[in-house]
Amino acid sequence: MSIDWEVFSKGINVALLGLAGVFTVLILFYIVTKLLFHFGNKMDKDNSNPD
Amino acid sequence: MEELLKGILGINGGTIFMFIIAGILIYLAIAKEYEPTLLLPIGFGAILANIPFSNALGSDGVLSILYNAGIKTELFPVLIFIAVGAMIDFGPLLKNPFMLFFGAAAQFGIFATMLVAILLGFDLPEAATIGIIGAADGPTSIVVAQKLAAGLIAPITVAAYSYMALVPIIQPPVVKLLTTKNERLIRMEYTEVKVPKSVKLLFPIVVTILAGLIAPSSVALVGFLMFGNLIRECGVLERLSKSAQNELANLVTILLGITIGSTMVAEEFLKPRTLLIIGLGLVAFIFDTAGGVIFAKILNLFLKNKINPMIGAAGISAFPMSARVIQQMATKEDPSNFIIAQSISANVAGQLGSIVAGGMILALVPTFM
Repeated sequence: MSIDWEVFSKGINVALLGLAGVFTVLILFYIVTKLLFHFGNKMDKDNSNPD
Repeated sequence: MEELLKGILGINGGTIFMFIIAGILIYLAIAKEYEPTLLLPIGFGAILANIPFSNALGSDGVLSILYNAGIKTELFPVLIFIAVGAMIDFGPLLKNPFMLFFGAAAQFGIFATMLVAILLGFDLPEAATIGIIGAADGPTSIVVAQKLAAGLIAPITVAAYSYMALVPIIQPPVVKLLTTKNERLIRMEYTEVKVPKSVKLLFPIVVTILAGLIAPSSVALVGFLMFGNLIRECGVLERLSKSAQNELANLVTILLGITIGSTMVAEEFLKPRTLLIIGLGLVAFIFDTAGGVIFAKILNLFLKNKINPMIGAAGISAFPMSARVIQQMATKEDPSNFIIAQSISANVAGQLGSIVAGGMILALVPTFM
């Protein structure tokens, strides 16, 4: 069995970029969730305060 | 007479072997209740496909028609995503969004297994397809396999669903190996947070747009999952939400399972590489679990309030099995330690992470081919 190092190096690129991509997207989801919570709570407060 | 005997005369070793495999899948589904909703239809589909001269296959065969209409077009897995989205409650994750990081870390197995598969002689698209078994997410595995290596769809799907059912057997030894008793005893504080309705409504919309902009190839996966979730959360489509969770899920599952089973034709399935793929699937689940646990241990080096590293293992997509396994392990070490809320949050994050990972694979692999 011979290893195709060219394919392996492409695989390393896909693995690194892929894992970095997954982390990036989920970090963005984290930030978005925090922001949504911030504004959601603010809206709830405004709605519950008739003044 | 010859016409009547041609089926019997057409039986060969491969046919018998496939009947045995189909029988094992049906046995596991019924007797062991391992993912019965899929393993049973897959097993029966395999029987239909391997009966010599089966008219269920071929250009006019009903299973071939279902395959072309539902799998080749990705229609069935995408419809399943609507159902799954309608079933998922993102509440636990929204209460504890930090757990999203574990949903990312536990996808490590996908990429690590892809590299192992390349070392074993598979080409890049095949290796990536094998790695995606580690997504622990059947529909994502099917979509990726269909796009990158359609010939591997049967072993990939069988491995993905089988290992999902085997999470209670696969994860505990890996977690134990990577953690000390003191780490497994770590308690985590939990404060109940109310999730505003607006957050539950906006989350699926914003996530779809965000994921779609970064990885357009994930739009079908993420988009339909979130569409299902929006139907659930909007509060005015209860009838549709229930239909998605029940009728749609059941109907598509029946068709998806039997159609996948029909791809298990002896000539294609009985190859040494099938065993290798199924073995690599196990490697993917082990690497996923290890990735999540090790990530939690690394975070603990910097955090004041330590995380129980077992939570990291719940970052895989097998929901709610993985969260339950982690809670059982915690209870075994200390019956008064409850980390189920955090485990469920990580597990829900894993469902998102696996789909995003699938999207990344679909986006990246063609650019390196």
